Amino acid sequence: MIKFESVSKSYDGNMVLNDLSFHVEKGELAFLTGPSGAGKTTILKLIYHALAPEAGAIYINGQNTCFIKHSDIPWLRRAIGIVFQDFRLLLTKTVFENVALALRIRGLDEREIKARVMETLKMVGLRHKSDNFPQALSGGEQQRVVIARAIAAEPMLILADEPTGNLDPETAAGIMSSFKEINARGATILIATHNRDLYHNSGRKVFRIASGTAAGTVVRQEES
Amino acid sequence: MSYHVKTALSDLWKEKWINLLGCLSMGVGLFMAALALAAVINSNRVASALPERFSLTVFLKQDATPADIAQIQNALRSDKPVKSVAFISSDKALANLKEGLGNKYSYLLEGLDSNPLQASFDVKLRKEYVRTVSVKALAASLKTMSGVDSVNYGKGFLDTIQKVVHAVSEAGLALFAGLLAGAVFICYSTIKILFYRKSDEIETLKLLGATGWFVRAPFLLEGAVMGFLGGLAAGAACFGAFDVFLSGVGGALPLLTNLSIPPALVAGLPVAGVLAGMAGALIAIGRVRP
Ligand SMILES: Nc1ncnc2c1ncn2[C@@H]1O[C@H](COP(=O)(O)OP(=O)(O)OP(=O)(O)O)[C@@H](O)[C@H]1O
Ligand SMILES: [Mg+2]
Repeated sequence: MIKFESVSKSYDGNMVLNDLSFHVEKGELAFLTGPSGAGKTTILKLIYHALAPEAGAIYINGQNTCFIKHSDIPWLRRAIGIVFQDFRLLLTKTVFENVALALRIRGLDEREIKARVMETLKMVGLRHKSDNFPQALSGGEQQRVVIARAIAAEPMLILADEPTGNLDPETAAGIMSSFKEINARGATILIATHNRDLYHNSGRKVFRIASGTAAGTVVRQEES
Repeated sequence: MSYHVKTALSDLWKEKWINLLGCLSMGVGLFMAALALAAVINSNRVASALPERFSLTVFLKQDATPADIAQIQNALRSDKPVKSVAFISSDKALANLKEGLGNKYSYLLEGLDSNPLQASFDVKLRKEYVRTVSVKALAASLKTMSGVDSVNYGKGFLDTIQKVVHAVSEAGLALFAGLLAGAVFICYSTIKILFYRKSDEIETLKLLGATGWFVRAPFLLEGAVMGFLGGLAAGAACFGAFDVFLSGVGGALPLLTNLSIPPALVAGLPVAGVLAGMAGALIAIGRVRP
């Protein structure tokens, strides 16, 4: 589903990813971990084509996205649900509208949108907050809205960047079980996190990025 | 679709002062554009309503007898619309021509052994009659009289009028186009501001997989609404301005009672506003790069 081949990426001449290769199979739920600044968010941005690599190739569902046409980028992104590390909620829209946005962009009709949004909000425990604006929510609640927006359209790939960063262990565990459920229904999920509890003893694949190696970005694949 | 409409309206409301200013500026631009177009339409209309001519020339045959000439002169004198009649003999016509050519070219006429020019009557018509009396009819009746060769009605005057109308039309249309472009520009800058304010939100939409048109739609609608409201304001201003004009200047000159701002033009203003607004919005957003 995701395949990086010798990918390099730098910001203003500072190499962040150097000759990185790894892949995630279709239907997997895998973790991406490593110290702050290692390049986890950068990897996710490369996947949804907010960034392009300087060298190497990235395949998403078999397609090399380095050569993607501009007009195809929206389609690539609609196949992906993203939990942004910085949330990216629209502050002028209600919780309902924020989640609905993912479905409107995909062209669903109003009745289906209403049903799906309410169902998804129930899943993350925010049904009662559907008419609130994001700024009236706690950090953890906002994070759950972002998760709802990412999963509402049932995309085939979900990228979650530190999805439990603002959640207490119990809520985090609840979100994790939702991810597992979605994964069991067939979606591929890649979770970038520092939170060892999420992947420890989960039996899932973990990619650990070590930063600062001159020889190249080392990705150790460990079984948790 | 209703989502885009809602978004557009709420965005318009959120920035209502900027947008109101945009609407009013577009209204002023469209109003002036309408006036320019009305000037073009009215100058054309006045020109077509004008008598075809204020004067006519009756050319006499070479063999016209003095009796013929006298008869024609009497007929003209007794005709009510005729203000004055001047007889121009062929000698006088030749002298006029010589004078017109000046010394330098007068030799051109030296080789002539007979005078090729026709005698004629120069007839001036009364202004107040030329509108009601068909000059054509007078010319036709003159033509049937013996001794009359042809009747020429003031082509020169007609040409002048037409030149003036042309000039007014061209200047008016240029002004119209310029002002319309101005309206587009006003919408462009207003939408550009809104677009920058929302750039963060737009970035998010794109990351969520929105197409360019999904991003553009609310802005296009905002431009359309602004243009529509501006056009309505301009239409109202047109009616108001025209009433003031007619009750003031218009009453003094009977010719001007013919003037009007065509209702179709006023009705077209909101439509023009919508088009100008959408064009401005399109240019403001430009290409939406993913
Ligand atoms: N837009 C940018 N311009 C310049 N440098 C950047 C930019 N984005 C990230 N970086 C740098 O790239 C490196 C990797 O950043 P990245 O956000 O991928 O790290 P991360 O692994 O997600 O960290 P964290 O766990 O803190 O989220 C960092 O050193 C960061 O300073
Ligand atoms: Mg990060």
